[in-house]
Amino acid sequence: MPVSGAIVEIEEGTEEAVLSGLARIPEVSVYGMKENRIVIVIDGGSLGVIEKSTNRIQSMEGVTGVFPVYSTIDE
Amino acid sequence: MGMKRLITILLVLIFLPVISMAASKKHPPVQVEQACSECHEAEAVTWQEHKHGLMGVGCVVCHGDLEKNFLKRPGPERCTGCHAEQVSGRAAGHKTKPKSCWTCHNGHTLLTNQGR
Amino acid sequence: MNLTRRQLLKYTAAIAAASAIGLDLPIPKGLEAAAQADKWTKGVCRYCGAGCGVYVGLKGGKVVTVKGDKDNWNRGLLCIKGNFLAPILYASDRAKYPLLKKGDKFERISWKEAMDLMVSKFGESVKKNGMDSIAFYGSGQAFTEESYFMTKFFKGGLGTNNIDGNPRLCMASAAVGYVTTFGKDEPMGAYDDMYHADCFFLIGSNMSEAHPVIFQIVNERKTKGKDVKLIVADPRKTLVAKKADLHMSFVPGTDLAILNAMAHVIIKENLHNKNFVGKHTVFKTMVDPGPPPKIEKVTWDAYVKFLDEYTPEMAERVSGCRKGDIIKAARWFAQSKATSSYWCMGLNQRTRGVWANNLVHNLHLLTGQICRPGATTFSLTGQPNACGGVRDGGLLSHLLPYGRLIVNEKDREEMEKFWGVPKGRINAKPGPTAVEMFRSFNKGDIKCLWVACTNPGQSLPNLSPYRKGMESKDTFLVVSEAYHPSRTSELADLVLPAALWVEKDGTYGQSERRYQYIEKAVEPVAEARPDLQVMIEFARRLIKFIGRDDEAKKLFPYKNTEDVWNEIRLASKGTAYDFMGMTRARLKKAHGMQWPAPTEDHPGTVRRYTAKYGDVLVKKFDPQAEDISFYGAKADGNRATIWLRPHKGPAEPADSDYPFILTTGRQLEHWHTGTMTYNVPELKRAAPYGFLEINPKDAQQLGVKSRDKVRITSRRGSLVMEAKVIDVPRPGLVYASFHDPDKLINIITNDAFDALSKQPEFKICAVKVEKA
Repeated sequence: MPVSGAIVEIEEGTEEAVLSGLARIPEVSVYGMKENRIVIVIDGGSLGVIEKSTNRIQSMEGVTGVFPVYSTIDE
Repeated sequence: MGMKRLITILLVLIFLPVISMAASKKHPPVQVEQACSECHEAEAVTWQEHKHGLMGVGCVVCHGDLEKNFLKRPGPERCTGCHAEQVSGRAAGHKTKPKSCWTCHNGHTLLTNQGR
Repeated sequence: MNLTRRQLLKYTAAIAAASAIGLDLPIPKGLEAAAQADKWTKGVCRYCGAGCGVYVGLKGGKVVTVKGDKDNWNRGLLCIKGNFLAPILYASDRAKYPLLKKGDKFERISWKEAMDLMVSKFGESVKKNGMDSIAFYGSGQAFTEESYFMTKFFKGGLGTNNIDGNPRLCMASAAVGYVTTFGKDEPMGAYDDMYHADCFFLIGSNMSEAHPVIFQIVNERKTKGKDVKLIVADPRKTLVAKKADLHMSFVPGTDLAILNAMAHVIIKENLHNKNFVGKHTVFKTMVDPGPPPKIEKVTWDAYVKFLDEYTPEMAERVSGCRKGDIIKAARWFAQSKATSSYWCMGLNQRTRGVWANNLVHNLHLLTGQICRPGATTFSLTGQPNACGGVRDGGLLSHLLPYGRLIVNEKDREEMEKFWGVPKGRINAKPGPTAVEMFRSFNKGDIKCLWVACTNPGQSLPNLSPYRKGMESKDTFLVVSEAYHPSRTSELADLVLPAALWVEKDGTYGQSERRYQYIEKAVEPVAEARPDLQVMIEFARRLIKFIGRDDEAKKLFPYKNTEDVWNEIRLASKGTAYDFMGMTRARLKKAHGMQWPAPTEDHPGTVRRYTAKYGDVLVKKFDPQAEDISFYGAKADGNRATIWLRPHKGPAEPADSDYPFILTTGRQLEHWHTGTMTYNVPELKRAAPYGFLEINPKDAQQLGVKSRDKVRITSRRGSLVMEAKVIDVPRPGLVYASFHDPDKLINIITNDAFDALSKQPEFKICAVKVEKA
């Protein structure tokens, strides 16, 4: 199952809403935040799931970008 | 399959120094009579003005004793003594179980953006 | 760091992303804190008399963490000391084996040798010099089962009242205060009152450092409540004083004048509750101190006349407290919807401690601010089980269990019958109190002394002569301790290693009449044994040694702590304490229960002496009462006493030779004599050693700045300490804590004690301070 680390960039003031939205996506874990950038890890069932999650996050209100930084493929 | 495993191992090896470096960060030696506020005045003042400081939660509760255990950025286990329900995700507003309390509770005020 | 491979991969991914934006992530020590522990047991914090409920977390058979009990009164919160309880069990100076002093050194011996020696020493002394040549000094940190056992063993088994405990040094004045005012000991209110009070009157209490979790509730009530007033009477500008709406500062030892002046204002401005006073009080004065004191009942008019001289002006002259503040305090006290008072050692550790307690109770009785939510007169307790084990259980040398007194023939007969000992067994004369006991030990009148679970070699006032006495080769001192060396065990002839806290099970009773059960979580270290186990063996063997074979087994048939607890419940049955309904099974499930709880379906009593708010004993002891009844004071028609107590200053005020007052007390990070807290690295780092607080004005005159070494001297001793110049103690006052074993501040303090309670005046003595 693939594991992907990413940055979610958000508009100012939308933190609470975005974090709640991220909480509703089971494959996503939030690790930290600095200024307007949230560190997440997507622990997907397949690369397809990771892609879907990324798209879902991208379309959330307040999100200006999702930037994958690291990926690995586990057995 | 072997190749994938190799890539994984390589990636992990690349990042392992980052993890262990962060873990072994040491606090410079201090004199027994020195208070934290002598070097960390800004943080100490902020802390003292907010709820935890006022209730006597000392710097050591989060950051350890500086010698035997020192935590530059403490983990949620340091909060368990009083906030076990929040740490384990059972309390209201904490069901999302972020990996770190500091995701929402900032710096030395420990307030969220809603002031909680 | 036992992460699974998957967790490691996830964390690696997170770190990579985080470093891309320059964010530091914490290292996970197990990703969920609760996963640190794989088993939890329920218990109570080992430290102060607040008695916070805790869960003790175990992993691999070791205590690794604690968390606050969210279903207990402390709502899951702990103070910094409670937070770090786990390390105290594994300190390197835990006492591991019995030790015998040979010359200057301690030699390890077996438990068999230790017990054989102890029995023969104590037994021979009894045979040669009589029952009163041996003594026991117990503790408000021992479990109730242990304290009750020793009370029965000494008073009922042996027939000596040579048994007292360290609550004599902290709570005796509060206990005698409650008894002389209300007929029975212990507060009638609860912590719950803090959620309803509109006015808090704190005097002689540094709640923010001595009872931090209780302070949390007060602070919250003040912040969230509407127009809640906080009055703090303290010669120091403590954190709680800084939060006060009114901080009354005064010369230490002059507070009796202030309290009488407040009563004076309340009456002069017609703010008293005439109805309440008429229905529920009597007036008394002491016409002759004796002993025994000669008491006379007087009238309301006599009381009013007595208060005539206590004008706010007079009190200001005597105390230095502004008269405007005294008047304001009196008005707020009387006119608030619900007023609660809280005090601790500032009132108790005084030669007029009982009087000070009486005067606070007076204010509540005068105004009817009592026996309803938010209105109560509440003594804060210092130790975790001074109430449960020593005051209630009757360990003190003048007491018998559950409100009974040695001097009362009926009470003695009742206990003789209950314990199954012959009539006349219990000695009719109360025994020596703490200071008197150690003076006797010094003289050699007491030849064998057993000290358990306390540290008099650091905590007695005017320490030097008592340390000398304890060290003497002419007497035999046994010390049961969890740590060695402590400042007491180092003086012992025989050291017995004791199980600590959750290494044994038992019951603790805290300030608000809440009894709580502590589960055993782990085995004791090395050869340490639970005190009860040692006590049972010693008692059986000593009773046999003095020729009472039949009593040896009959009196002490206990197999475990529950057996003792069941007898304790029976001892309380029918008394004002009656907690017959508090079975061990119920206590295991509950988050503490407040007595009285007379039956197994009774939930416990939040407020005493009021039928309206649920005290079922009102109907039992005073069937005619409508609501409020002080049924502990049967001889006064179930009425409480308003005492005419004149102002009297301390035993040793400041003078030209010794111009400063020294007050000793507590500090947030440490507890009592520091045997436990100095073993916690974080607490040691936060507060590494004891220091002397000096007011900046005084410091300037002395030419002293912070970190300078100063010498503090009294008529009894001298000590060099580091100065901390800080605007906390008022000018003329210096302050030090008593926690640091390397700074024995008690060689300076005064062992003069209250004539009624025998509690010493730790809070006030005269000293001089100079640059060292």
